[in-house]
Amino acid sequence: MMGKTNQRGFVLVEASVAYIVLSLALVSLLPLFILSIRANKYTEIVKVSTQLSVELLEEIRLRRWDESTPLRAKAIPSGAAIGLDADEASNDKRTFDDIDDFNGWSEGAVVDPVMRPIPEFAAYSRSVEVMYVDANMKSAQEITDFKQVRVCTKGRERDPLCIDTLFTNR
Amino acid sequence: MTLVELVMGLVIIAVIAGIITGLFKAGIKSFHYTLRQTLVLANARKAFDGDGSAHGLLWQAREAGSVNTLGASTLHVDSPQGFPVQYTLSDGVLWNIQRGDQTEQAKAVTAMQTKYYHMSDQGIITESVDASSATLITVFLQMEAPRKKSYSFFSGGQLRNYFQ
Repeated sequence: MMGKTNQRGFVLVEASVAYIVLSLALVSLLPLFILSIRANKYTEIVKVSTQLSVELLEEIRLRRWDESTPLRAKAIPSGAAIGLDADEASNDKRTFDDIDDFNGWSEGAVVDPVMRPIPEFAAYSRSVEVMYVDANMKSAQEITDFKQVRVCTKGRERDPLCIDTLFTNR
Repeated sequence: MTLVELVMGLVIIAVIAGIITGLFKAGIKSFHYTLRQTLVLANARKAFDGDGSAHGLLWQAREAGSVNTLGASTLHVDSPQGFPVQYTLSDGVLWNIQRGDQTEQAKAVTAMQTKYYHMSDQGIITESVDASSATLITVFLQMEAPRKKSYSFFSGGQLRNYFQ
């Protein structure tokens, strides 16, 4: 004789608990989509920030090596301290005539080379750091023939995106 | 199964169906957003840098020996080989015109604004009023993605005609 089999199945409470657990699992997937959208937004900010940094680097690249360099010349075999010189205003890059004048420069909102604001990029800020580096690209206290320029662009509460480049007095 | 159990079961299934629908909606929204972003960023790259075969605005500016004409919504430069290269905007398409050929550079570009600068004799940057002295260009591009969301980009490039 076969024994009596248990054919009771699920009761409503058991099924309900299973459904609730399943629902919670599905709802927990929602943040993934939000994360995906945020990641894409970040991609946009990176692209815009990169272009803004490149533009400022190009502005800096136009300048001569330092204030001792003759006008319309790129470099001479000497050097000077990093920073602003006479008749240069720290809040007006139009007055900058050499690379290291940009050290400490910052734009709370992006402005073009002649200081006109660009409203579309009001949420972005840019800053510049210029330093002498040695032949091993390490920060140098003394004057060398290498300047490292770092342009950082910060967009919408994100960490700044920085681009470094090297200028040589050669 | 009683009627109460049946109704309860249906309610639970309805709630779960609602949650799954919401998930699908979020997934579709995320997909469209990603697609929009990808299209716009790819077009921005094509416009500024090019795509390998067609050189973009900045690439061409850096390569150029001089600015041919100061245009506020075009870029017209002279290549080192001597022929002019022009970028113009028409019906949302950025066109590259050179040596009699007109090729599509990038799509979905709704506005382009170019500005030109040069260095004065005192080493100070100034906006150019004549093409021969211009040595830096900046380009502002506005691009439109499907669903009419617009994206703005700003960059610049230095010509080869300075410090030479």
